[in-house]
Parts: sequence; structure tokens; C-alpha cells
Amino acid sequence: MPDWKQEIGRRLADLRIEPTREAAIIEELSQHLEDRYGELLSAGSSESDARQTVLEELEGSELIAAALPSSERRFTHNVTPPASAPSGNLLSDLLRDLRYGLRSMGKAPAFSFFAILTLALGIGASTTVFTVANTLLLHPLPARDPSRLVCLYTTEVKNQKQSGGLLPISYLNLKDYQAANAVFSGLAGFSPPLVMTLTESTGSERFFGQLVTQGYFETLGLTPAKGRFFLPAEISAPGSAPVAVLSYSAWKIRFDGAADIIGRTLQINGTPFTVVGVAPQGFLGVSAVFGPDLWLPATMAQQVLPGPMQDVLRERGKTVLPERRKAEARNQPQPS
Amino acid sequence: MEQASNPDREWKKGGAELLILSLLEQQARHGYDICKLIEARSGGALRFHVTTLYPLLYRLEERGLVQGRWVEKPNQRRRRYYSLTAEGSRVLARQRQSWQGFVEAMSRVMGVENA
Repeated sequence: MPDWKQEIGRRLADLRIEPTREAAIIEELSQHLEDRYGELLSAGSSESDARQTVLEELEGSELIAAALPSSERRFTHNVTPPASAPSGNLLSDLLRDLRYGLRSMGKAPAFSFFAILTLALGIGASTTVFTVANTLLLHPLPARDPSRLVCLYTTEVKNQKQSGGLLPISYLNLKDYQAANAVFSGLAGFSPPLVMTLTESTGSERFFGQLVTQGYFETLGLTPAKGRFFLPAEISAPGSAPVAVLSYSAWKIRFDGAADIIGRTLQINGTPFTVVGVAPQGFLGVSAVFGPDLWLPATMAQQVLPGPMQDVLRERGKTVLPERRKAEARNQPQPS
Repeated sequence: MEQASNPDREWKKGGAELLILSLLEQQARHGYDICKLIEARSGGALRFHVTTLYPLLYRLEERGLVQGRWVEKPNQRRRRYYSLTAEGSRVLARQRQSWQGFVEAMSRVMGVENA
């Protein structure tokens, strides 16, 4: 006995009939064909002839799907034709596959939308994780010897928290630590990137600047890509020198890598600063992820910071937000 | 004239349906039974195959003229039996009347021509 269910199922497979309904139709029609096959055998036909006759009578099975209500069909429109065999021409096949893919997406827009959304979110998440891992693990701080760098914080004796209560160090305290330093080969401080305004004849734009203390670049062991870093005289006393060091990316992107950038004057928060150097390529400061566009001497705080923060150089208990200290240990770092 | 044209249109549109509805009038039948009855009662002149009968049955069912139901009998495989609904009975009555009007109209015309 031929497998009529298989024969019918194969013919109905492309008609996109709702699965439960399709199973019922296959069962019903296969019984009909069994009866018809038995009838032909009883009439004297051979098995092969009877089978052939029944299969011929099964031609036109697509009419069955057309007779069904739309609720019992998964798609009311024509299904996408199957892809044909490769032609041998790579470009032609690629274009044909592309058109086939677009047609398929067009026939199932909701599915395509969520598939693309899922892919976009997945790629975005992967890119973000890789960016962070690349920055923190694969490209560590471009200092001379990052393993010998330590961060110094201060704590409040009367207000210890479970997390350790780490606080930034004020400028005056740092000066004292530098003066009494007998442990580290260098000690320098920096603020987080601060929003500043760069004013030019063409207009104003937002810039991120970072205030650094004396010896910042030297402690990190950096070499300028162009010009020089701050001289001790330029960063020793409040208001001592309006000089700036540009980041490499700001020099390349904002100033088109101008060859005469050294000596150029920039209006930062209303104060003219002279560019004396460009930081090395890839250096984003010590935060590794987000860096400033330029560095300014911490001694110029009063000229560039807003009113409430202008006395950070004079008040021992005041800092520029979460100010941190970075130092290079003279010996191996001692966490305790 | 209008009366003469209506039976003709109705017959062309629903002749096959009329056959099926007529066979289901007395009792519920499965598809193969309907096919064999049409073939037998027409003396072999009319024959329905699986791909012509079942689309008709499914359309009639969708329109509410017949109702299919799986029936299991002892020592037999279950089969889907179709029975006439109340609406199917009303439609059958109208189609019968149209058919009779059509045949009478044809007979009158042919009788005039023959005369």
C-alpha cells in the first residue's frame, strides 16, 4: 500500500496551510485515496497502474488551499519561490541571492524587523564589551611603566564607610605630600575632564579640559608628539602661565593637524591660552575610556573654573569634583 | 426573460454544489461516499476526483452550508462525515427550484424549436 499521507503531505507542504488543519486534510484525503486505490485493485488494475491513476487524480492539490478560509492559511499571498541552482557567476549569484533575501524579508516584515533588531542589539552589546575590554585590557595606560603606578586617595577618619570612603585629595594637601614625599619617585594630581568653552572667530564650541599639577606628564613617563609639556615655572604658582597641551586627537581632528599649532592662542573659558605641546597619540589621560581635549596647569584653576570652584587652590578641604592623585612608586607598590 | 435567465446563472454557478447538497440531504456522508454516489447515479457521466470534491466541500463548510465532523465507529477508522446545516437545506431548496426552472425553460425552448 503506497504511503498516501506522505504523497499528500509533500504536495501540501508549500501551500502554507495551518498545521492542525493540514494534518486533518492529509488524514481525510489519504483515506479517500486508500479507498480509491482499493477500488482500482478490485476492478483488476495492477498495483502500479492503480497507484499511477490515484496520483494523477491528485494533481491540482493547490486548489485545496485556495478553498480554505484565510484563517487556516499561514500566508494568504504567494510564498517566496525557492532559490534556484547556482549559475556559476559569483556576482550574478550574489545579486540574485540578495534580491531573494530582500523579497523574503518583505514577505515577513515583522519577523525581519525583530531579527534585525535582535542582531543590532547583539552587535551593539558585543561592540561595547569589546571596546571596554580593548581599552582596559588590551591597551592599558600608555605610561612608561604602568605596573609601577598607584592611585592615592584620602579618607575621612570620622566618617568611615563600608566601601572605604575614598575621597579625592585637595590641591594643598597634594602639595604637602609632594614636599614630604619620601616614598614615590613622583607625585602628581589631575582633575576629571571638565566642560570648557573654546571661543574662536567662527563661534564657540564645547571642549573638555583637564587640570593637572606639576610633573603630571613626567610622572607618567610621556613624551610629547609635538612641542613640550609644562615647564615647572609655568605650573608652580596660581596664575603663573596660561599654557595648554592639546590631545593628539583634538590636534588632528579639531585643528586638522596644523603644523603651526604650537604657539597658537586658544580662548578657553574667556582666557587666552598658548598651546605649548601635543600629547602623544593614544593618550586619553588616566581614565582610559574618556579623555580630555586639552590639559591646563592646575595653577590656572581660578581663570577657567566657575565661581564656586575657583578657590580649590586655596582651600585645603576643597577639590575639583572627585579629584584623584596618580603617583609612580619609587619601589614596588605597597597596597597597604 | 428575467425569470429565464436566473435559473441558468444559478445552475452554472452552483451545479456541482447542488449535487453535493442533494446527496447530503438524507444523511451524513464522507467524501469518498459522495464521489461514488455521484458517479453511480449519473451512470458514470459525472465523476469527482479528490482535488475537485474536497475544495467544494471546504467552501461549502466555510459558507456554513455543510458541517464536517470526525466520526469514530467500532472496528473502523475514524472518518469525516459531512451533513447539511439548516442554511444548507434552505440553499438546497432554492437551488432545486432554480434547477427545475432552468430545465423547464430549456424544454420549452427546445419544444418550440422542435415544433
